[in-house]
Amino acid sequence: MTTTARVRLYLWIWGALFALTLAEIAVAYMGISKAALVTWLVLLATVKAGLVGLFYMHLRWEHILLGLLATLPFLMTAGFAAVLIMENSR
Amino acid sequence: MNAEAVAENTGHELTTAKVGMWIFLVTDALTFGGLLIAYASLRAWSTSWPVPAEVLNIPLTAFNTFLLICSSVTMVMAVTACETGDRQKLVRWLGATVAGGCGFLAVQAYEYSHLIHDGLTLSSSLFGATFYTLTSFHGAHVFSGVLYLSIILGGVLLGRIGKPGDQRVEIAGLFWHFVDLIWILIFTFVYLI
Repeated sequence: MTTTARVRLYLWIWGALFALTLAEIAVAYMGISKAALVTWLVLLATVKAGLVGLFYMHLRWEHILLGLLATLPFLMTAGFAAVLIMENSR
Repeated sequence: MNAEAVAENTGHELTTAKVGMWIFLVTDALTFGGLLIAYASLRAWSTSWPVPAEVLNIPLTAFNTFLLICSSVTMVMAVTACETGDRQKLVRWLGATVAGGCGFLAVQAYEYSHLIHDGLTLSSSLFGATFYTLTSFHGAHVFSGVLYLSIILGGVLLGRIGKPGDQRVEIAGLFWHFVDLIWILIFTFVYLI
């Protein structure tokens, strides 16, 4: 990828992050149910975090093992949270 | 990293230094994960928890989020400038990133002063305790990032850092983007939900 193309991609990602943040704020003030609010906000935050990781932290172009290493803490945290939710609902 | 190794490093190569930074970031992410789970657990099991939007200043924090996102763009521009050997742009973009980090800290200090004035302190409630623990731990990372990038900027100005193939700017950038990524999650889970 040429430097110009890469800079253009970075600016597109910046625009996407900006738009997604605005979307998050809009969703937060829409007055939808708590379950829908949590689902939408978690989805939008995951997309934003994914964009930063993949493009700004270059995981898109790195070795797959580095990508797997990077997702490990998020998977472990999500797993831990899932166990706690299941424990609480018993 | 010796000069020979620096000369060999072009593009996004997997070096010991980069893997080392990633391992550090993974352990740091686990710490943030623990703090976020503690926040969520205490909130779920608490009988009284304020609506964050009624206590916290969302527009101000949204501005701070935009500031951090912008500083991530300037950081990635600095990495590109380093790769192309454009020292002038590297200094400019790194300086902008440091300024963005300082701006974030200034806004956070302003936010804290107002919240403390309104009675929300570390010991006033469970919400206060978890809110300040999470956000100040992240703020400490922003402060460390500002120091780290300032040292890198100093090295670039002295001509010791920033030659094409030198990964030190990219590795510092990894830390800075991580700080931005964690803030994206904190902004969502603590401020918006």
